[in-house]
Amino acid sequence: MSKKKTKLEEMDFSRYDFRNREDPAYKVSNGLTKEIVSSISQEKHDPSWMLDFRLHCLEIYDHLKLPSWGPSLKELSLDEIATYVKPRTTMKDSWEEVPLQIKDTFERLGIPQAERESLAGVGAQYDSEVVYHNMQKEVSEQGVIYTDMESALTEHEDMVKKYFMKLVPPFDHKFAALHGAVWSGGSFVYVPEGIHVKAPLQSYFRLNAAGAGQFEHTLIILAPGSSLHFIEGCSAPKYNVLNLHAGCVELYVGEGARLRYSTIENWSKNMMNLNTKRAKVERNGTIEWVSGSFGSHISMLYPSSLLVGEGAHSQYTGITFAGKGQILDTGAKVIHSAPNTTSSISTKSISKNGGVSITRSQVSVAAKAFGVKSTVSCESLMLDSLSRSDTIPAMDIKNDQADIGHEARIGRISDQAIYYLMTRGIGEKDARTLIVRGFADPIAKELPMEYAVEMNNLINLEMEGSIG
Amino acid sequence: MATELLRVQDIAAEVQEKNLLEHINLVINEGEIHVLMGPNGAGKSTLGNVIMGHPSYHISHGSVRFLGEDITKMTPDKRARKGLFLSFQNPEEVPGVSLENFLRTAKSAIKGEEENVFVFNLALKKLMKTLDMDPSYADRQLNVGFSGGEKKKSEILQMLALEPRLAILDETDSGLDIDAVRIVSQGIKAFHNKSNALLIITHNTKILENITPDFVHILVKGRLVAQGDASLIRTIEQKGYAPFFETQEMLS
Amino acid sequence: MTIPSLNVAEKEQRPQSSKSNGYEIGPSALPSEQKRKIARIQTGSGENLSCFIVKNDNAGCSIRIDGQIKKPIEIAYELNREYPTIIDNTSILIGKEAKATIVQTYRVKGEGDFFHAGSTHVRVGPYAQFTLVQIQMTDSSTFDFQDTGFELEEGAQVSLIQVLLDSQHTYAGAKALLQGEGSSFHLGCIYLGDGIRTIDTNYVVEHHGKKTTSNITARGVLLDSASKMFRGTIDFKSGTKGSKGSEEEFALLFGPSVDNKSVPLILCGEEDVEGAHAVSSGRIDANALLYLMSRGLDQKHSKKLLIKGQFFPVAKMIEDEVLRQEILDTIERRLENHEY
Repeated sequence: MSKKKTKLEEMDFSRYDFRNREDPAYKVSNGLTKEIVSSISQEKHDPSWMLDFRLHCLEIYDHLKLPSWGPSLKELSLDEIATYVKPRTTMKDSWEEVPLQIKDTFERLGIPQAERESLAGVGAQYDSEVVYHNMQKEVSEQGVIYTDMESALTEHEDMVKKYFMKLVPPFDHKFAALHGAVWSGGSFVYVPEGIHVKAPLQSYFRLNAAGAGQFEHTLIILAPGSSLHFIEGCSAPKYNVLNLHAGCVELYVGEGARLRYSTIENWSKNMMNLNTKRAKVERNGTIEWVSGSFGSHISMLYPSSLLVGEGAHSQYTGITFAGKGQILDTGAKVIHSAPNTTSSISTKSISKNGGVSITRSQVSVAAKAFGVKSTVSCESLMLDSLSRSDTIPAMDIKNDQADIGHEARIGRISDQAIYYLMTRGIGEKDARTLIVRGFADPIAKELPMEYAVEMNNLINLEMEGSIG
Repeated sequence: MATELLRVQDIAAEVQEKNLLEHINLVINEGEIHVLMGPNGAGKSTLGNVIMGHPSYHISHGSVRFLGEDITKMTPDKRARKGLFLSFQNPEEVPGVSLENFLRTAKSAIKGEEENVFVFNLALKKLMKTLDMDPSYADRQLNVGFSGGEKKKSEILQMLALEPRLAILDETDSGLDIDAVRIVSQGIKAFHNKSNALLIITHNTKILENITPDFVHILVKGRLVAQGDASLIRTIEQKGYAPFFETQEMLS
Repeated sequence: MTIPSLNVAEKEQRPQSSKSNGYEIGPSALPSEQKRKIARIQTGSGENLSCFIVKNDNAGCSIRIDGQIKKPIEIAYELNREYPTIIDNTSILIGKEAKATIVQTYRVKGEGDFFHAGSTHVRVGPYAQFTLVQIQMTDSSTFDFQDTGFELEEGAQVSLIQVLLDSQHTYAGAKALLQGEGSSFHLGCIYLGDGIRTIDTNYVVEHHGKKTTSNITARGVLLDSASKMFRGTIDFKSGTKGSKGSEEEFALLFGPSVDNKSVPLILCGEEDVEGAHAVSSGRIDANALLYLMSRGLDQKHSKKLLIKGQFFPVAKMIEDEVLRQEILDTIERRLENHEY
């Protein structure tokens, strides 16, 4: 039987490949200086403490070096990225009043449909400013605060000041400092004690202008006994100039509260995605991370959970799909600082067509954290020999009563499995797709329907080749 | 005149330059039940897989025709769409794919048109009932964590759902308890009719207690050493395979 | 054939030269060009240590094995008042289809601050079988560097067993290059840390040739305030089709301030491979304990059995029963003084 060379096709991005004519009302000159940071602050009408904070972060940013590990970031030149682009509109309440051009962008992303389908509210971001914000009556009546970060800064200043960048402090790393200096946009959510938000809250981020960076900040605070599902989904059109995403997500999960944070990252192939996500979980609280990383040129993404209260729990389920020209360095971290805390990390990665997937995980158990249980499972599927898949787990255990298990597997699609499916009439290409979708299934199950469908569409492979 | 389904003509097959089968001739017409027997290592599973088109086996001589068409070089999925089916001895586990979803996809592929989800589901549940299978298995991941018996039932269920013209059953009875064997035989009987056919591969005779084969073939060390009717089974039960080893030596 | 007695006699701790059917030990065992090449084989702890040892050695030797040597060749070193520092540099060439086992033991006699750094470089020829056992024995307060490097040709099979029981600070390394098709490398490590001992390992297996296999198994116990860092890397280079690599690490922890770190890496640039690793750390399995106790064994005895059982998969890689028993006895003795 002759062996045909395996031929792989790129995923179909044309759906996202559209862009509006650039029409910014206000664009910061490229490059990062004190003047620029001050002007951003002024434009936003920041309180003075926030301006001081931004400038302080800028100092730290100038001082810190780029990380000495992970994919090379030398293609990144911040001087070339305008950090702030403000669209020609102010905050709108109802969908109908949003300008046509901007509305069109979001319409094509399907937000109105999602809105109709019982989602609680949508905060949609367009070039660093929240344009459209709508909250369903039910949610606000429950006392839930869901607003953009800028409004939160004015309306809930004390709360924001108490929590803002305390979980991810600016000296954590260079991009945290950068974020602190130029952050713009993002969501603020506060769920009061005992309140359970039934329908998921959703937020979209979008990059449009060439060279614009996104530095949105998400701050979610769950009071004791409350629960929430928050979905973050992203998309950006393709450009030649490098685009940067250095957002920050800080999640405070109160005692007995439960937060599910789902993300599908589908940034276009020229994005550098250097996001920092961290959750702090109090006693008996639970954080569930669900993550699908598909897009971007280079990603460094390690959602971290700090389990500080007894009985706290962290669960991470994620899939990473690295295709041509992509280096996706992703993973998860859990730090057990309190007794009887538990965690599970389950990652799956697929690499094809020269893509590089690096999975890092870290489980740390402090000396005083008795009775900890943690399991980590990393599975990697390589679809050809052009690609790379590296698994780099680390375990740091300082307590002898911890029960820690870790396993990882790497390999390819089994020829026997393909043959089995073919004997049932399914063609080879479809058989491979079915198996890869099956591989991603545990993550798809955790996502809301439209995300699962989007994810399955992203997994669209065209293959030719023989078995054996 | 019964239609000829399968014609294996003087097949020789090898893997990594090792000869596994030689001078295999076999004709199966619709309505017939054939049994292929032989000691362990004779090459029975190999023959089943060769007919199905397993890419690891190289056909160094001869041809395989199905419904008059030369399928020697055809890929397994095309053979399945022509009406061939192989029930595996050790079925693969395929995580993330539900049994129901998988079968519906296969059925659609074989029929060449999309199966209606609702209609298919109902039909599937009915079939599962006849095999005494818990309906919840339809939503379980294909063969993942299934016991040996459940895997075999899953294979027979697939056969009943996909309705092939020729079903090759490879050691379907191995590892089953008495009840399971009975249920599987019933499934086979329910499947069999005038226009399809079965090739049952086995090395012990238990499953044949409820089925009367029309033809029995004995395979020893890759050669067909005897072909006859159901009475051959009694010969094996009484004398084992020893007499046939001499025949195989002679043929070599 | 008599096993050469290689106990230390001279000022340097060099084994006595010896030559017989199938092997040679001593300065003339390897031609200088070959010796140089072998000394340059990469090791687990890296070039700096390797160079230091080669430059400053006062122990070690060259060994060439061509035949099938049934009995293990033991090279015994002893750190004592007279020889508080041993830096051994050993180069070994295993010829085509040869078979041998070499056991390097490091014992301590008396009190003192001792220092040991050893680097063993091995080149294993086609279809040869070679086992290297390295054992630290006896209570001590030593600095111990136990470093190894291997290059395997076609069909070569190598086993390395490192028994790290005693030094105050242990740094163990191994690096194996599976160049030849079908070559295989198995590494077993047993460690026992108590008090304030530290154990730091770096094991690297690089798969280059096709159909190569590897396995790294580390099993140990940590007590009191001991600390351990396990680094294992399985690196599948592009082209190593049909290869399999696996790592397992199991640690039992008994102690209020143990520090247990593991970093088991799998790097993969080739699709047609199977890689797996499993790491677990914790206490004795409660079900297993109950089972033994339900058969009449008291708790302490049951625990001891289970702990010894923890070491067994690696211990059984040591074919010499006398040696194996000595190791298990040492472990038992060390555990006597502890609560677990």
